[in-house]
Amino acid sequence: MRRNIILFSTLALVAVLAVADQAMWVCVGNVKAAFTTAQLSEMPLTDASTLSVLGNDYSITEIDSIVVNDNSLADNTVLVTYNGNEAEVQIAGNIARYITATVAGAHVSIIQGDVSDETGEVTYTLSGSSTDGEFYMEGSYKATVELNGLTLTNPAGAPINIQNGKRIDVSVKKGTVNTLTDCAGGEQKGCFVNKGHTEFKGKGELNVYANTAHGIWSKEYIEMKNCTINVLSAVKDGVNCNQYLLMESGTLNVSGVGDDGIQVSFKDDTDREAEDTGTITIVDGTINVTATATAAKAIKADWDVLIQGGTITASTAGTGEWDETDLKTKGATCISADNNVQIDGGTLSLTSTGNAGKGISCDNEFIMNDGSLTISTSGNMIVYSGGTLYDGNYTGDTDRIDSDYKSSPKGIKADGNLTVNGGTISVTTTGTGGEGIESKALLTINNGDITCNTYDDGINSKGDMNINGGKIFIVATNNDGLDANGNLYINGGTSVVYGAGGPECGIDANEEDQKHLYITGGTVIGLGGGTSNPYSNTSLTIQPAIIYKGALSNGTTLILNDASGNNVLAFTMTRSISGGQGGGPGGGWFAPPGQGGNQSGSVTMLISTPALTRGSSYSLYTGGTATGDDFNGLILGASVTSNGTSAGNISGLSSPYTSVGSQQGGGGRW
Amino acid sequence: MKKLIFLVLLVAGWASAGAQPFTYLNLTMTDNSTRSLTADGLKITFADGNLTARNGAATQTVPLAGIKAFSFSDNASDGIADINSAPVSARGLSGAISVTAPAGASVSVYNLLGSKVYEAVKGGDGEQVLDVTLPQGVYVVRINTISIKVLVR
Repeated sequence: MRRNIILFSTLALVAVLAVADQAMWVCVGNVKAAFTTAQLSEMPLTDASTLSVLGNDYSITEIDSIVVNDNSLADNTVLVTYNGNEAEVQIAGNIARYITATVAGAHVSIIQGDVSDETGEVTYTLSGSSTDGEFYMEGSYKATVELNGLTLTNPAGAPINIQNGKRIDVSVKKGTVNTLTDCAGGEQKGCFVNKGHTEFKGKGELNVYANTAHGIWSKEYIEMKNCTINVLSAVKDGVNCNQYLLMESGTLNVSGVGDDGIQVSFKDDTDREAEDTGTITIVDGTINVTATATAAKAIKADWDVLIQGGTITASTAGTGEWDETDLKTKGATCISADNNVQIDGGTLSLTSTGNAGKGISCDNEFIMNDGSLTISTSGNMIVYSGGTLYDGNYTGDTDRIDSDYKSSPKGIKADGNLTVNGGTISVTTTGTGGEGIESKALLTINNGDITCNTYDDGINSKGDMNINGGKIFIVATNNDGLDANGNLYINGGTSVVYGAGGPECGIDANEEDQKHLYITGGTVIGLGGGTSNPYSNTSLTIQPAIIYKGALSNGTTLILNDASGNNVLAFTMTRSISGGQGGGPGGGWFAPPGQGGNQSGSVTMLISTPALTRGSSYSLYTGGTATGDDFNGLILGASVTSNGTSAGNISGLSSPYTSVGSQQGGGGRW
Repeated sequence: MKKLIFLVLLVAGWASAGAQPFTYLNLTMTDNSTRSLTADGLKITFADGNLTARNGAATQTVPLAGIKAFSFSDNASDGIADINSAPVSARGLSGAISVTAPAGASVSVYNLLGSKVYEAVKGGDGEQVLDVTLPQGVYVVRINTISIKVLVR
């Protein structure tokens, strides 16, 4: 310990003694170059008028003074200090010949020449404050700009405007708060403007107020780590860039914007460079984004949105609109991608309150491998009809309206395949048309925990639906729980699905178009006014099912025992299913009758579990009591205290199913 | 412990191996002579074709036309004293004062009331009669930082 104290103390002393080098300062107005005298050779004075210093030619008439002291500058540094109506620029002598600095009041303009690779990158450190100033730079080489306690307002443009077109490291210095404000009604693309690549780093804080366009605009990619960036107001987007956005860590807060929160676009329409991916990648960090404009997106990418970690909270409040250009209705969306959305980790909380609002919308695939996703939508469907936009108040039949002319609130919408391989998803929708999870193509659940409390369908697919694993709990109060417009394959997992009363179903395949429900594994409880009938398929090993119809209300427990009295499962209703049309005509044209609606309080219940064996006998009871490991009312192999009242017996279970209970009242729907 | 001391010395040596400050800023003249200006604390300005060097209270003015180059050195120029060490003298004459000082030296003359009656920069080396007619009396001649009392007859 004593040795360590001696060591550290001595090193500290040495550090103090290692004083700054002797420097010769050439002062020209508010631009001062500090030449380390050790770097200086002979400095010729030509014609008594031009003094040459390390490659810089100074006119004697422009030099205010030359001062020699021991206050040198580190090589490759430029210090810009703002103080009210003035600014001072100090330039390290080794790079002075590359830097042309002009200072007018507190407006600093830098032209950076071609710094050689041997010399290296220049670091510009900005500090101080001014209400009428700017830092403008152009050149052809990369650079670092440090924000070291800078408060800068430019009443005539952007306070920071970098036109190099190269990679600019923006280091937000630890422990500093920096604030940028631009003017209103200007021509600048953003309050912070960089024509090249922007890499934000450092552990400081940057606040941005944008009064003309975007908060932060980068012509090329943006990367971010460690720092905290707050875009507190913007007329357009909070953060707007081309190529890609990569967030490795740090905090990004965006609010008070007039358009999207974060938008990434392709830089080029064709012949794109490799880095022009149009993709947003979140590796870690914290993002809080609020977008309130009509049909705005909190996070929007021209291509993919890839989320690998971090904490993302996004909200939209704007209603939907009719897009005259694309001729379709559009809603506000928390995360929008023109290609794929993939979630491999992280915690996402998405809230969309406007009509037609969505949590996640992608034009191609949605894939979730891990992470936690919570989505809430509360708006209603919008409809464009007869030249009028019905903003949540359309009362006609929306089933026959083309999808381009209506937009519903949804938790997750994918125009392509939708696949869940893990993680936790919770979706709540309360407005008309609000679906939980939708794929316009193939929907596959391989694993994960999924909970949907929805107004409309819980999970919907335009194509086939495959439930291969995972745990699924759905309550759809006004439509189907699981709704496949193709075939519906239940091959595994545990699913408890509530649909609405008749004619809606707990489990619904598109039987009207000769599509069917196939159960080959897993445990499924489907409840609703009706259900699709499980179907046989000689190429599949079908797991038999029981369809029970009877009075099942909230709190009622159904007990299913085998012939030996061993419990197969117990299920306690956690809600009642109201509505239903209790009978009616048979199914649609050329389609077999589905399981029609029942009278109020009467439920159609689909039961299938691996414990059911074809040809075996089973007994059903209602009103019993049981305990065990409970999944939303479902207990497999329960400890039964009381069976309750007999509700039916099955002597030789058929495949694909056997019906038991009260008679159905006609069926199906078309 | 020996290793610790060795490490400290090594680091100290590294830290101190940075550039040592130069003692002089030398002006190489067009006649290849050299004038030395003490570097530390030096401030140079330019006006009216002249270079004015100030260091503390000392001031030296050199015509730009006579300067060929600047350079830093630890050595003063040979044969030319620096701004603060050149030998100077003054003597009273009949109605005038003669001053011996190097070119560029700042020369001021004060009467006993403390009023300045003459000020100029010496144009050449050696002895020079000041271009001013003075009444009989005692005067203080200030050459750079040196004050000399003389009697004008």
